This record gives sequence, C-alpha cells and structure tokens, in this order.
Amino acid sequence: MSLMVHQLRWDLRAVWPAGLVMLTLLLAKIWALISADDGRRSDLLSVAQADTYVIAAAWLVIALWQPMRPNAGREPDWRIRPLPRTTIALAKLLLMLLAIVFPVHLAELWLLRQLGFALPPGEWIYGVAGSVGLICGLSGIALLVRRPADLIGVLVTAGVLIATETMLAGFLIRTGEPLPPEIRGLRALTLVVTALVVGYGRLHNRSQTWLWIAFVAGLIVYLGLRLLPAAPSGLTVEASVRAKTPVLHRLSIQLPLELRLDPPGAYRVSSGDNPLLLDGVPAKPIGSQSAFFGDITASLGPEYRPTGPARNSLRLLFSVPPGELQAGPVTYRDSLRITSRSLSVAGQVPLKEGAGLRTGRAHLAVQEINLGEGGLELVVRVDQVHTNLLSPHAWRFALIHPARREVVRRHSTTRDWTSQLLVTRWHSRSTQVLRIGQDQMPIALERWLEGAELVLVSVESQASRLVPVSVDAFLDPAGAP
Amino acid sequence: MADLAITTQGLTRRFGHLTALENLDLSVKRGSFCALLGPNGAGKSTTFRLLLGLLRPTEGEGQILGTGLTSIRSELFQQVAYLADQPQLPRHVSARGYLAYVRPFYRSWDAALEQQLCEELAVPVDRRIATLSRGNRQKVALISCLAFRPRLLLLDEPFAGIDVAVRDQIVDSVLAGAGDRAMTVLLASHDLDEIERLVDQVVMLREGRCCLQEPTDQLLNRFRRVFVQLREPAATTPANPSFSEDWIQWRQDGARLELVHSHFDPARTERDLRQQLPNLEALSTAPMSLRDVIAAVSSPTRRPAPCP
Repeated sequence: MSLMVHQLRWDLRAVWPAGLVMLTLLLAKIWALISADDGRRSDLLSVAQADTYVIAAAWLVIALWQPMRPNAGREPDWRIRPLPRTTIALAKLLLMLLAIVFPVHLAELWLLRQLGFALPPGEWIYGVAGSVGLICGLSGIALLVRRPADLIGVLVTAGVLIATETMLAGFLIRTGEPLPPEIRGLRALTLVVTALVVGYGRLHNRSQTWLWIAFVAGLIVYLGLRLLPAAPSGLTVEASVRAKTPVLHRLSIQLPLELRLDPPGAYRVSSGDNPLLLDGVPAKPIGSQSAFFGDITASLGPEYRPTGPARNSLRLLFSVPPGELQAGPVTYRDSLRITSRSLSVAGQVPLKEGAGLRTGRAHLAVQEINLGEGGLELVVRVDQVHTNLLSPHAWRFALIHPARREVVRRHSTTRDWTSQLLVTRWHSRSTQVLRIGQDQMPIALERWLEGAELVLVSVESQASRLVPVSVDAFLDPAGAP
Repeated sequence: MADLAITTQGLTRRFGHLTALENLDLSVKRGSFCALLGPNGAGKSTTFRLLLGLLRPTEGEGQILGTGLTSIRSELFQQVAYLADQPQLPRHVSARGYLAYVRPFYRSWDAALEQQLCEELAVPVDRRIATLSRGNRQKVALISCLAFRPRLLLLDEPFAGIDVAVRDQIVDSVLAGAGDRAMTVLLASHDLDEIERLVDQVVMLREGRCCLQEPTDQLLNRFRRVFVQLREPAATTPANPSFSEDWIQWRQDGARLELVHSHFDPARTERDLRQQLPNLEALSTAPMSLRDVIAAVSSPTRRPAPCP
C-alpha cells in the first residue's frame, strides 16, 4: 500500500503543475463559453470551443504519458526494481482514474450543477462506468501478463483510446440522432491509430500474446458498443410506403416516399444507406434522411388539435451520377427505420423575447421573434444535457395556443449544427430557428401569436422496426423542374 | 552450488535466425569479481538480460542467488542490482529526488551509505538529472544500485563514454570495496585497464559463444610472453599442430621472435620450442597483464586458446 501511494505521489508530482495549468485554462474556457450569450453562430465561440478541446486533449496526453516516466517503455532500469507489478499497475490505474474521471466526469458534473442542470445519476454512473470499466477491464487482463512492458503498453493503449474517444465524443456527439457513417469512420480510425500504437510497441518487443488478446478484447467491446447498428426492437406499427415519381434537381435526385403509419403517434423515420439504381448506375444517398411524424397533441390533452395536416412524406436524396443523364428506370431497395417516440411536456412559457424555461435537463430561451410578410421566424436557444443508452432523452420545443387549444404542426425548424456548442461532454447549446408562413395558420399569424406559448418537449425513443422499401419507377430528365 | 552466485547450463537465446548466445555454461562464485568480456555483439548484454529475467532463454537454464532464471520475481531485486550501459533516469527530477523515489523500494537501503557515496563521488545531488553530465548520471545510477547493499551487482559497460577521472573515482570508491561488502560483481566491458587488479574471474564471449572462462590467477599463470633469439633468421612456421594451438600471436623481427604460450610450464615451454626451432639460441619469458592476455586471445590472426 505504501509503495503504491509512493508511486502515485511520484507520478502526481510529475504532472500536477501541467495539470493545474490545463485545468485552469479548461475551466476558464468553459466559463467563457457559458457566459457568452450569443445565440447565433459565432466564429469567436467556435475558436474558443476548439481551444477548449485542444487544452483538454493536451491535459490528457500529459496526464497519461508523463507519469509513465521513469517507468515508461521497455528500459530494464525500472523492471529490475523490487516493485511488484500489481503495485505499480494499481498506482498507474489510480492515476489514470484521477486523470480521466476527475476532469472528464467530476468536473463536468460539478459544472452542470452550477449551471442548474440535474444530470440523472444513471447518466453519470454510466459515463464513469464506461471509462473506469474499460480501464479496469484492460488492466485486469494486463495484470495476468508477466512482462511489465506489456502491462504498461496495455494501460497506455487504454488511456489513449479513452482519451481519443472522449475527445471525439466531445466533437461529434449528437443528441438522439444516429451517428452518420463518417463519424463511425472516425471512431474506427481511432481504433486503427490505437492499433498502430500497439503495433509500434510490438516492433520493439518480442511476441506479446496477452497484449494482443487484451487489445482485441477491448476492440471488440468498443466496436460492439459503438459501431453495431441498433437492432429493431419489436415495434408494432403498420406502415405502408408508397413511392412518388422521382424528381431530378440540379444536384440531386429526389425520391419522395409517402407513409401511412398506424396507429397514429409520434415516430421518427430514417432512411438507409443503399444507393438508388438509375438505369443500373448507382446514385449514392446524400446522408441519412429522417423526418418526424406526429406532434405533441396527445401529450397536451385530447382537446388540442393541430393547425395543419400531418406530415406524411419523407424525401430521400441521392447524388446525381457523373456523366450525361439519360431517361431510364429507377430501382431502389432498402429499409426505413421507424422509431416510436414518447413525447411529454416538460414546461411551457408565454412567447416573448427574453422568455426562458429551465428544467433539470434542458434550458430554453427565446432570443428573437421576427414577424414579417413572410411569416414568423422564431430563434430559440436550447441548452440540453446529452443522453445515452440508459436515458435516451432529446429535447424539442413546440408552439401552442392554450386558449385556442391549437398546436402548430406544419412548420419548418432548422437547427444549425455548426452553431451547436458543446460546452461540456454532456452539455450542448444550439440555436434553432422555427419558421411559420402566414398562410399556415387558421387566423392571422399576428393575432394567433398574442396568446401563444412555447412548450418544451421531452422526446424519448422507444421501440423500432425496419420497413422494407421497394421502388421501381422511371426518371425522365427532360421533365425536370 | 551454494557458493555460486550465478550458474547457467547451456544457456541459449535466439532472436529469429540470429543466435545471440549459445550454450553458455557460466559459474560465478559468491563474493567474486567476474569480468564478462567480448567485442560488440558478442552476447554480453543478452547474457545480462537473461540473468535478470528480462529475456527468456530459448534453451538451457540457470540460477542467480539460487533462483531459477524463469522464476525471478520482483522480490529478488532486493538483492540484485543492475546498471545498464545507458541508464534511463527521469530527467525532470534532481539526483536527490530520484534517490528519494528509489529509496522506499528497498528494505535494506542504507541512507548513510547513500550519503557517503554521494560525497565520495562528488555528485551534484540538487541539480536536475537532465543537466548532469553523462558521467554524473552514471554515478547517480550507480549509487541507486549500491545504496541498498545488493548481494549481486551486474554492470553492463559502466565506463562507456566516461572520462578517465570518473572511471578511476568509481573504481577506487566503489568497486574496490565490493569484496568488503560481500558483493558479487559481474561486469561487462571492452576494457580491463581499470579493473584488472580487482577481477577474480574472466569470461570471454565471441559471437555468442564462450571462448574463455577461468580464474584470473590461473589465467595469468597459464599465459606467458616468450622471447626467442634464433642463431640466424629463418622461416618459423611450425610444422607441429600442437605448437600452433598452444602458441599464439607471434611476431618476428629477423632472428628475434616474440610469442605467447597459452599453457606455460617452464620445462615444457622450452622443450616444445627447442623441438620446433632447432636453431634456437636463447629464450626468455615474461608474465603478461590480463589486458595483454585478453588481447592475445582476441587476436583475429590466431585461433584462441581453448578453455582448459
């Protein structure tokens, strides 16, 4: 025990000045980001956000690599010291936990509490368990390794993997949205880089069977958690899909799909990754298209009614194949993922500039209300605590009129992803713009807005199922708009 | 067996197709000072790594301080110290800080000895290791090896890149007192100048094989430099094969020959020479230094003398 404390103190002594500087910078940046009340995209904020992650990454690198000295690498100098491997492994493990759990988890937890967010205990436990479990798992395997170099190699590998993953998660997290393929690719790239680190270590050692077993085990767990698509979970919904005539635009081919979902409710429908075949030539899908079907009417009470007809279509976009486009048959085979959503009202506030609504998980603030000839443009800032597998919540807002018992249904909402600011690993801030045309309301928009309120809606994903889509149509470029 | 600090039987290590060490049978008595000699790539460092359990032998076995090489645990290093040829010390701490880091590892750490060694070797203990000269870094590493009074000290090229003054200091202050501390020393080096007077036993490796292993006094008694005066200059290539095996490294200057006899015996040496050189007029012999013996054995022009 005393040797372990001795080793831990030695390592901490090596890193604490750097750690203190980094942590101070990190907290200063986070506070700067929080206090900046800029609802729109700001270059300054983007730069500050990037700085934050550079600082955090630098801290982790220092915290993970520096204490390996003088014990790092394969020098025999420390391997011939009478320091039991378990002792040094536990000391390094403790250090990593301090280096990772403290800045990544505890500091953020404290920060979120300061901001008035109540992070669910399950969320925090899940986050900590994810990091700690991975380190402990790999270290546990590593403790079986006779060669200390292997042990250190595995610990460093685990540290690098977690650090990189944490950083990437900071950049790439998207609440309630499936990760796009390029982000999955980046996660895979992380693992490849880790593999190269291990491979480099291996070049300088003899065969390290246990190191590879540990690494492959970690890889499988990581891939299993992160890369495998979520399996359908038995949603009972009748879905009929009807394809409309594909339309050629300048840069894309649009394939509108009309859906009927029974029973009525709130659903998210997302397209797959298969290409569309135009006369046998594949046209790649442009991202994953998804649309929300339904509204919060049921959550507000039976007396509420939507202001317009329900959405019933999803437009799939495909890139135009190179070369001159000829008229030809269109074939498309894929599956749509339909996920049922449970909506509940978390709070509501009268619609006026500066109005705000705070819950433990999300803060909503009305920043601008622009009413013009084109209609209403409503700018809302949404701060939210991110979700994971254990508590898959997302936050949306809706516009209602309590007196008229109406919910705005047909409107367009844009969320500027580039403006999304990830203040901490769990907490992001985004700006959303809601647009309503003058002709979309039953009465004059200006009058309707007088009694309007903004509702914060908690959205929780529930069961899902895949629905096959089979389209055989004909595309005539001459008929393009 | 109980009086042996190190013993190996058929110790072999291969790296793929390369045989770094082959069939080494080594015996080092407790309390002795053994020099492990050989050119670069002879297998000296591989031997050390095998003895410390840092490498597993491909074949063969051995023991240090009674512990099998494949069952070495960290506890053994309470009694065994190893100084690598280029010790990797933490650069960001002072020498004092480094010694303070290492100190709690050892139950037998002697703080007074540490202090004494620091003073004798004039180590600037408060300077960061990064700013120390190579010689001073070597001294710090050596102190960390000696202050816990190990029973076995393995030194791998401890003088490489060290100036003469520091070498003398280390030898006089540290290694000369090894016997008093009942410490067994195995030292690998190219050069025997400084430690010749301390060495009890010599082991010589060449291309991974042991070509000489003998107590120093026996070795020095066995080897003699022989000066021969012939009546007239003549071709001296010996016809007798036994002559060529025992006699090595000759030099001829007209009627004068200089040879080394690897199995010196006054009567036999003279008889052999008179048989091979009928025109021998006079001969004289002179003892050799250990360095000269090793140089003669290492001579690439002649076959080395076989181990007795």
